[in-house]
Amino acid sequence: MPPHVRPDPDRLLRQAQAEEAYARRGRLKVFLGYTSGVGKSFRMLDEGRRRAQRGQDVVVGAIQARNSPEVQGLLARLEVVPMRRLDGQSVVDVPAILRRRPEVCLVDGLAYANPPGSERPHRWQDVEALLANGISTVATVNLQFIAERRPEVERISGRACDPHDTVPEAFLRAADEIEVVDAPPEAGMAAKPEEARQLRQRLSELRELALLLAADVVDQQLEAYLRRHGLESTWGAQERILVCVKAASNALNMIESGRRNADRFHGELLVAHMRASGDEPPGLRRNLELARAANAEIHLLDGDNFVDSVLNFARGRGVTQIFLGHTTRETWPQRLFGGRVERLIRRAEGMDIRIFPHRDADGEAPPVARPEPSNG
Amino acid sequence: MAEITPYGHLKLFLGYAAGVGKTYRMLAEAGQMRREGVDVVIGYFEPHGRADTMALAAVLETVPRRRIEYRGAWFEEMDLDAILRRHPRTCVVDEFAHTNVPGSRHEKRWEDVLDLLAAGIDVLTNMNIQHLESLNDQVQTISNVRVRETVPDWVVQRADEVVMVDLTPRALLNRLERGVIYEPEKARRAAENFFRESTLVALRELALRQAAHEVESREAPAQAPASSERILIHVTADPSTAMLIRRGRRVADYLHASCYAVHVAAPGQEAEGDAAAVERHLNFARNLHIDTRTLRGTDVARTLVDFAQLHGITQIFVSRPPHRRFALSLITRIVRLARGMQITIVADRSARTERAAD
Repeated sequence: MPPHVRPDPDRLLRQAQAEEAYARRGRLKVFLGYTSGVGKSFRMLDEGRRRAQRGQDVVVGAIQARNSPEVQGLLARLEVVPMRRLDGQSVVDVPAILRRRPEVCLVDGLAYANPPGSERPHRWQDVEALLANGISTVATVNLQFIAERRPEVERISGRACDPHDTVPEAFLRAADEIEVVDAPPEAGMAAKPEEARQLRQRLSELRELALLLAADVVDQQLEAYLRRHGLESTWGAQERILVCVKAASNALNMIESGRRNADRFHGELLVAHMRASGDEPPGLRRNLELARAANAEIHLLDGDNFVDSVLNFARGRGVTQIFLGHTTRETWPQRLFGGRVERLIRRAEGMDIRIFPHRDADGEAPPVARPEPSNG
Repeated sequence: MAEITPYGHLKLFLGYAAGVGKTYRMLAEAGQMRREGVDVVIGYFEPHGRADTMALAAVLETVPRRRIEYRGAWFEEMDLDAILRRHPRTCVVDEFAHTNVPGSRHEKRWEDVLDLLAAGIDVLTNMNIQHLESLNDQVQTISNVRVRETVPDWVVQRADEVVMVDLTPRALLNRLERGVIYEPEKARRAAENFFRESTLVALRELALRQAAHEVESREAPAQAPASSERILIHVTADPSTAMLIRRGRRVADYLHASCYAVHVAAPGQEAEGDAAAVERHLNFARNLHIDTRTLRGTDVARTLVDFAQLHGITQIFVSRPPHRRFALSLITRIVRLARGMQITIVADRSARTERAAD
């Protein structure tokens, strides 16, 4: 959002209405696990028990059929609104819960599909209805059922997921709170050591995905918090790499390196093409293609106003590392002493600057430099 | 004895603040083990007056603490020798990052834990993300607090399992307000430091990302091929060197790169007291398991780059110079000489005012 927007009365009204609607809405908390059996249901019920102890009116709206003794022990201490049976399936009895009007409803297994002919196709939509009616909900979900994560989960597990049981990632991201239920994978059930090793490996990859998804959601919440409080995002919990390229840069090397580094840090890759007056279009086109191929977000920045445009952009986006190259057109003393790279280095607080090796436009390393004058 | 004792298994519960439930998780797991017949004892437990964890600890055997006198006061520490004599299958050790009182066998509790592991004892322990050495500067930026008790990254890497103990900041702040975590006065002070919501959210994100990194680095080697990256960290007497070493270590770990810390001693060019500062920095690097070298040469940039070329270095890390022209000219010369290498000028991540913390 631009910093100096004149308040528009319609916008303010819409905002006030949105805030009012939000105030009436129930709060959603989600326990996220990377597989079944890590203890999501237990954590949800335990939270319900603690809230009930603190005087909140809590009911259980959905719970999985097969449960550990610990889960059953907790369940026995909570009021349950029985699920309805429909076509041999258990579904959340939304009308009964709305009549009962608790403050908090616990809903296990957010991703279940309701049987055909139900009022709402998915359980997460039932939860949406509860929230819209001012009932706060504590729910659980397994990473494998998040729609957008399915391709990756299928790649890791080597199995197709049930296409019906899903929850959209946007629903999770809109949750007020998300909490990871983490535990090391247990692969003791597999018969052969090799199978156990592979299972463990797959579970580890899923576990990593779940932790990173939670980190992304948290990052988004942090950004929102900083925006609300008018703070600059220079926290750097998430690595963000900004590769600055010009028409004449050795962009391929820099963007590839940026991609590799961003992947290793599970960070974001941004590419800025520094557009200067008199730029040749082929260079711009090539850089855009390279950035797109590297799956990077690309931005055009004012190259004639290099230092300010890079720093303003980088600060606004919480960049932690800036990659710069240089061309053969300028000599290093010119570029560094009193030059823009020097100013950038001096002013880039909280950001690393990585300078890439000097290459000619055709990608060859430059000829060996003449002997250096001594330093003094 | 000819027989080699297999190392104990180390499980580390990772959190992002006091009160997220690390000790609870650890003790609950120990209780479960006990019910399954495992010989488990508590080596150290810090109750902090919390009823729920105290109830979990009460059903477990505890090895009494050792009392140590220091400057006329009595302190209690984990009794390493008593645990080694008792030799349980599994030992619970609270607060992995704790610094022992002088007069203890080791300076750090994590060193005690390494001894337990070497004796074949499994250990359950816990720490917060802010105690990880390589994040020290970032944590200071986030929280405004310089954490003094740190654990080197290689020690965490040594853990067989790292488990994230997650709790939403809102739930944590509720606990703080209800007086579950600290007594009122300490809670009020805490709310001004680590327990601001934005700080908690940022620390939590750091912890989640670190936990993901720890999981990834324990996956099959096929997932993490050794890279050809080699990082050189330029060590000087400047205080920013500590930050440079932490950042270099962290980047090297993520890139699976090898790492050197190199100082160039230029005879006659060093101020008094510099040698001691350099030695401290090199020692710090060694503690983080970084190879260190001291080279001699009057031309610092040339000596550094010659070494880099000889050792196939791909990235040179230098710190952002203070506002002195000379220092920047060093970077300029390194860039000019170091053809084919990337030069990273590392930002000071702890630029805010320092405040000591426990």
